[in-house]
Amino acid sequence: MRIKSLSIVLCLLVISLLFSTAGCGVKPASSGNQSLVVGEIWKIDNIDPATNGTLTMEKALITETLVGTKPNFELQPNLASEWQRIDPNTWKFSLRKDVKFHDGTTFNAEAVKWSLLRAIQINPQIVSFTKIKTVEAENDGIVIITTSTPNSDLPASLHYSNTSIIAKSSVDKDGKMIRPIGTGAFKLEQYDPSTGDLKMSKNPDYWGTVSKLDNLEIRALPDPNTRALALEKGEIDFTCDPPYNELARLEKVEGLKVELNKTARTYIIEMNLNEAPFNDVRVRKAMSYGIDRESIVKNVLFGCGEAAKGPYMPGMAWTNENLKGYPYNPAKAKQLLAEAGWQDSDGDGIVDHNGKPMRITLMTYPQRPGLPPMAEAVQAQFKNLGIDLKTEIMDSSAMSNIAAKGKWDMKMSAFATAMIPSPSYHLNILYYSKNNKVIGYNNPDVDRLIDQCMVEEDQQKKYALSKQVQQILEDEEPVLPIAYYGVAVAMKSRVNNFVFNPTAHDYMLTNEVNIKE
Amino acid sequence: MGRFICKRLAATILVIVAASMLTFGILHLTPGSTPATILKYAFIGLEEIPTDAEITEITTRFKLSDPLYQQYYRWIKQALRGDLGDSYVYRLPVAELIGLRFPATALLAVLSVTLSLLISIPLGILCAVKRNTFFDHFNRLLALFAVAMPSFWLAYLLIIVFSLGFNLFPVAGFRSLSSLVLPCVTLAAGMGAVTLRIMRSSMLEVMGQDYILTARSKGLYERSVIAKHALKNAFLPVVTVVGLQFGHMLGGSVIVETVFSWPGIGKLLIDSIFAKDIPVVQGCILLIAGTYALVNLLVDLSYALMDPRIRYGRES
Amino acid sequence: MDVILLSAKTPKKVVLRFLKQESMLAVSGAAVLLVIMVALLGPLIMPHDPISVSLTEKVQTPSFQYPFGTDPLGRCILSRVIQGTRTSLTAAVVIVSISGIGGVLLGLLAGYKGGGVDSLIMRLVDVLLAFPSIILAMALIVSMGPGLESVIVALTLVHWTGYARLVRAEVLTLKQAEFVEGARALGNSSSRILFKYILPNVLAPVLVMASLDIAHIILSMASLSFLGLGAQPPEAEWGAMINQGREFIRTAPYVTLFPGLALMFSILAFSLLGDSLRDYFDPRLRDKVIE
Repeated sequence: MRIKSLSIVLCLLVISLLFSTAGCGVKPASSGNQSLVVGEIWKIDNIDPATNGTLTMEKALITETLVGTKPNFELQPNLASEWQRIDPNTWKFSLRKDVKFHDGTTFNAEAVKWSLLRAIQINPQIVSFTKIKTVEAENDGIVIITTSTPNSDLPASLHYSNTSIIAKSSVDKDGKMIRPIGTGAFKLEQYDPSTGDLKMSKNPDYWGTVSKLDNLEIRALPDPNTRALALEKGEIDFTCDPPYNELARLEKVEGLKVELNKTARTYIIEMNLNEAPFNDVRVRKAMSYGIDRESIVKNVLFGCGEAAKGPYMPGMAWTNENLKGYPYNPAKAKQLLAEAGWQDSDGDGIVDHNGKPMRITLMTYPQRPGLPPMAEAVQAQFKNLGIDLKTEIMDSSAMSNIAAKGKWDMKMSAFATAMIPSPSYHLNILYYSKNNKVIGYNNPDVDRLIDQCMVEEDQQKKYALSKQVQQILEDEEPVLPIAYYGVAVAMKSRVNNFVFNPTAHDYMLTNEVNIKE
Repeated sequence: MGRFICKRLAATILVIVAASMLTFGILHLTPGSTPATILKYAFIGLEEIPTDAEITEITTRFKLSDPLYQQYYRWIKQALRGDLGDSYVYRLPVAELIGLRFPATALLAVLSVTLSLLISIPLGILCAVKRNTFFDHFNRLLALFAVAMPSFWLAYLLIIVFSLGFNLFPVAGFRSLSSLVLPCVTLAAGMGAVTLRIMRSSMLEVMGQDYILTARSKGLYERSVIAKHALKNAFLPVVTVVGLQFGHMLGGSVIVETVFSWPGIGKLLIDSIFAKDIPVVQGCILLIAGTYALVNLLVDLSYALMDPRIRYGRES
Repeated sequence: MDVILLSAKTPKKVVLRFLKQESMLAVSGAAVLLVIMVALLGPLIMPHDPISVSLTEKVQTPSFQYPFGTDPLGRCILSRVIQGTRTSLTAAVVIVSISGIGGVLLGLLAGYKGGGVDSLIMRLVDVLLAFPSIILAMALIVSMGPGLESVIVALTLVHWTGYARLVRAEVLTLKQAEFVEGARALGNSSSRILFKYILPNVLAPVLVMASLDIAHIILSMASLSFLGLGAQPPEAEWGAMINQGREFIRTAPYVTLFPGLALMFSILAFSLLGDSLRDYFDPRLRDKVIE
């Protein structure tokens, strides 16, 4: 019978498929020459350095920017050997002379001009950061950049990965990206757009120390469980942010090591300061005292992170280390609420003021797995203060849309504090009255200090001004800092020379990383 | 027959166009949010605050300030010429993007439908032949559970047991053929259960008919009665259901593709709905509604081929 | 069947016979009743507050104090599963009632009026059925903003089509029936014929469909919540609970296990009830599956 024989054939096919494939996941990731396989935490949609520079620069090590940073966020030369401000709107960048792109062409001022102008055209964000108006090549080794408004953070913003310099041969004649050809320690060999996997080989002509690794491979594994399992099975050598609750278990696995680090990102709660009750500083302080940060870090984040005292984590050049923060103190919180006129007068367990109970909504988004449970923890802790908090989890863009319309109470996010490594950048977008009308913070002193910090040329004075602002912010608490963002890096014990760089967005590899023989 | 097909095709195209209008409208339900969403997903990063200048730039670049009907008209005019536009997020032509993702979905669809048929058809027939025995009751109960089991939950149970417990298959992704197993089984369980129930009841119905009784009374062996006479007719309703299941599957199983991070059409569509990557959403909807309608048509035609009593095109 | 009824002497025996004859109906009815009772009695039978967080008691294995263990925020999973029954059932009943009533009315209208009204409604149905309903629901929810309310609106908008189709088909046959012709001949108004003569005759299949639909809606709702589009924390909802247990499937599988069991039980109960109701109303169709 036809159907029967057909089904037998299909049956055999499926069975043979099962057997042939069941074993193939468990082979060691690296064999023969040195290679490192990395489990990337985001899905990879595209590999254009102008929009996904974090991937090509920090993780795949294909591209580099003009300016580099030290681990404490101070700027240092990279592809540009030095820079100086000629007048408020004009900058002169001197380029390294010993650099070649992966295709063998020379890295020079023309390449920088083409690359920066291309990036600006593609990604509107780069103009907002840099304020670049023109880029001109004065000669092979010098680039003159003018800005539309004075921007003392231009060098810092040229550290941002999306300003990576690529060769003209990266694109076809229609300007479409073929593959990024950069100056980094690794060359891109293969990119699979359906899975997002990248394969790189070492760049033997790298201008810095040539990597001891022969190959570097990146696999997009956006699911934390998958990353943890892949690491244990030996499919990958290195990853970050496995499920936090598995850190303790992974640490005990033979041949693996886990490191807890912090990166320049802070979990914060923003409030609508234009509306009651948040326009009362006593209420904001009460709320801050009412959040048990230590417990949140320990129980919700499984120790991955640190209770926050101010906007910047310790160890950054401009962090004000004298801040005391708001240690958990529910009694003081209740007292402050009472002083502000919020008391439970009708005995329903919720504080009220002029007959209006305090019912507020906290919005957050799910892309950072720590945020939703953190919001629920805050909700429970606020309940003890008599505050009725409702949480709403939504897409982060939906959250900003709602906030932009002005009808909101609180929102929680994991805010990058050194996207641009500058002591004023983050203060400027979050606290400057003209820039952040959404939260409605308006303090002329803060505005003035930020202005001064932005135009100040001397780095040490810049840092001092930033610290002054941080002190005012602590006194007024317009934003509640909750915790510094922790990054859990998990890797095989034989991964050598990995040093966590806190300026990374997630994690940053370097040409020094290799495999212990 | 030819006229019938033409008529059906015309109706189908109208329905698909209307469906694309519907999704286009829905995606623009919240006015003004589109450029900010695109910025966050494609350019500045999810957690950054878009500036006014950036929003203006994206609005003009993708012509998002035009009235909706104009935007739709522009899209459909292009689409009719075979150009589905470029993705905002992936910055690839939509057709190319779908081409990249479709094989993974098609592979999953073919394998899981095959797997479900291999299990459900023989079991369904056996259940009908041995009706009201323990074997019958047991399999029907199993099928009931499989139908009621939410796919995402079944997926987790399978992951817990086979990936984490026995370490046999990958948890997610599509990098080796072994990663096909768990998503296939998850999908096949639900589909197989439905097919089994239909196969069984359709067999029972056929076996109660006169010509089977006649065949039996002629003294033919039970086995040959079933094989020669009953099976062929009992397959009709099964074809319908399997066809529809397959049609659905080609559009990507949203939930299963999400749980297993499967790089297929379903996952692409969901990601694009969130990112308001409108050209991609529209392209996926075209593909899904199109396949679905095509499969429907094929099912109807195969009916006509398998059952000589049905002839299309004459009734009106 | 007749023989059985004739031989039944006392009411008790009649009930027993009924239970024996319609055992599936009885079992599924009891299961549905159990789900409803759990939902109704929820607050009385919950051992703990389903939303009060206790971080120090997070992810505890099942114990005497917490029979199903605790979730990542230290809440009693049993209490949350019970609360989840209330959430799912309430929402499902709301959705089925609205989409059912709307669908029935539109189906009556389409079937009885015919012509332009009919083709308008039916083409709308075709468009809505042109792609999987979950995708349409998702697009709607993403646009409206996630939450239980959006889920209810979205699922209502995609679920009425089934009723409209069913009722329209029934009306088309009933229109020709003698008693309807008779009623028309007697000069009854259209609306009177629709509601007095036709509607009662379509209620049985609608009831069957509603029961199957509740199962379907509970599943869709859980799927949407699982994707983060449905119920908002700390609200207890099975799909959302399973999603929350996602990162813990290795260290604490019970976080996903129990809500999943509850979900499966409810879906099973309602779909079985639907199946057996259909058999009961129309024994001819026994063993057939409506898709």
